[in-house]
Amino acid sequence: MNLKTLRDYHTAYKEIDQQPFNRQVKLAMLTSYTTDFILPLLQVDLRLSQIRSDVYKPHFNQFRQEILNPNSGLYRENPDITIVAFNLEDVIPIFQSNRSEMETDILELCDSLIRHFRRFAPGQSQLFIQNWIPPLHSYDPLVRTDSAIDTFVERLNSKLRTLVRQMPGVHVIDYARAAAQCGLNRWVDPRTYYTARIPVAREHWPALSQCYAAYIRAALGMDLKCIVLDLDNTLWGGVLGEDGPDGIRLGESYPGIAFRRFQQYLLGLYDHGYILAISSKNNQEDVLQVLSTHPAMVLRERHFAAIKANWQEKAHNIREMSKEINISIDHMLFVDDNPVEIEKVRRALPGITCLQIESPPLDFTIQLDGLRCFGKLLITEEDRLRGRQYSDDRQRREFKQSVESIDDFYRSLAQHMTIHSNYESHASRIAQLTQRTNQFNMTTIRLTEADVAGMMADPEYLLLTADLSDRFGDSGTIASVQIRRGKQVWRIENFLMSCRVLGRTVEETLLNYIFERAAADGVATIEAAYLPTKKNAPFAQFYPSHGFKEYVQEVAGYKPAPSFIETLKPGNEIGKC
Amino acid sequence: MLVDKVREIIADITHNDLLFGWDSIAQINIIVAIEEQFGVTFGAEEMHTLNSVEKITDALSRFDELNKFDKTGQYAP
Repeated sequence: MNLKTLRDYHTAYKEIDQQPFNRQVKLAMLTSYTTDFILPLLQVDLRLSQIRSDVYKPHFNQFRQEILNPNSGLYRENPDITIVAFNLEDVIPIFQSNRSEMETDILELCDSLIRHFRRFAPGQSQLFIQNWIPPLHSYDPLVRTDSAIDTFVERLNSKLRTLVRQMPGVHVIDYARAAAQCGLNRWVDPRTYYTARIPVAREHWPALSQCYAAYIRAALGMDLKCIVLDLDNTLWGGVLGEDGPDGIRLGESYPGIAFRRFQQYLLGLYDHGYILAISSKNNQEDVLQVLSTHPAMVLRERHFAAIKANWQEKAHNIREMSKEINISIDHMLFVDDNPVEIEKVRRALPGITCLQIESPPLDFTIQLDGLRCFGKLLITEEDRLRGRQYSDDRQRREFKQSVESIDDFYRSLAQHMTIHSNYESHASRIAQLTQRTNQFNMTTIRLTEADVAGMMADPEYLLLTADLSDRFGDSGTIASVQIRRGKQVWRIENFLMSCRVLGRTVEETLLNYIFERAAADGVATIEAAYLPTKKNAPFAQFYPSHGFKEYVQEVAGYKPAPSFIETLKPGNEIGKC
Repeated sequence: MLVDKVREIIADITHNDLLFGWDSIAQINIIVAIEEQFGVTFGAEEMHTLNSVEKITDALSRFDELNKFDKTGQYAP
């Protein structure tokens, strides 16, 4: 449901308490102006995403006191998400001609707010700082100069982004973008601004509310992961089976050009870590031909984690691909132009999100945007590489099916593993693996980057990481082992591995390496820790199946497990080994 | 009738837990809704002083009166 007018919000708010919710969030709004105009709308927008919200809003313009004072209401209320928003003109009454001092003052204020918040608020609390627009009725010269207020604000926003980039749990709300998208010269109503200090014109209150809601949803990690796409009349105009590869509408003239732009948009999602997949009622060979040879396609075979072009039911295809690529149905969006397909999938797969895309293709991207299911606060290197990794995995799967025996498969994969010891550059990846891995994770010890750095500096600890690649591509750093070293006994405190590389003898190879290393260091015994959880239960037999009795194994008596991986020495070992 | 329409718009906004009584936010909502409905624009101060059904309908009638001047500026009700 897309709420546009205030009337829509009024109607929705009447029924808000009857709307279901499956998340709760406590918000704090710390602003230099009154927030009464926006809060009810925000609560409606959140509820539409099944989020029930409580808001702590102190008297306006108390934002400094609330954050700087450790005994303030803010810290007593302990909100999950705190939003700090102030107008520049509320902090600087007159914009003097010398801007550099003002810039320093504002950035120091933000820095101080962040530091105090991080000190007094619990670790999981998230802080948002809203960026700025030029004060209403500022002079904007025909040609932007260094002394123009707009230039000043742009630079300030850029510096805020830099300031916040290095701080976990702190993010920017791009208020300037929200205003620009609505039209900056209509963003403020001078009447309500000058008489009641309302910073936004009423017609844009819904847009602002939806902007805040998007950030809150992202902060709560409510992000879909995968888009399953139909092909005919979704990625191109026409029906491939009827029109043939030369007859589908995809090219430089309408409507082909609009479909091409939609593909470009999807490529943008791919670049930001979202997975693309195809489920289409078409012949596989026809589809692969178009994907590889059609000159106007923007998306190619390598952009898709799964390509199911057949005549089976789409729900069946989607269930299969969900298992293959290990993404749950709840994290998928299914896009199709055919209402019958949508209904069938919706009925067969409760939990999936569906979009019935409606021609003409003039606003496909708006229809998709309007679902508001995609939004991350942090894009990592892993996100950038993810699409390629999933597509490589697809090729591995396809290859596996074409090969006679499993051993042949392993051998022809030509896998290489580089094992690193206490490799500082892997610190953040190790932390991420401990946070995100739940299945092949022996003790589920969660580490922060600071914890990892501490262990790497401690001679008693050995942190191993493994990089894996094969003929299909580089899988990156896919395993991490935390070992506590004593003179005679080593203790494996945790052993984790990405599920994407299960069944390829990765864990065997690593375990063999650990015993080799222990033997070389004169260690007699290795102990291993295992803490059972619901998610790691399938791997409860990992240590026992490699000879450990009661989680203890003598180094001398260890029988190396078969491995189909060649290990390489790292060329870049740093830190204590 | 004019006054019924105005009451309807106000009721829509205030008889709604969204705006606790006719407070200043409701005031803005009401005025802008009236402006949208009748195609008029109120001034900055007027926005806040027209805080009853009577005052709003009076103000609207004034607009109506102004519309009764013909192109030459003669009053022609």
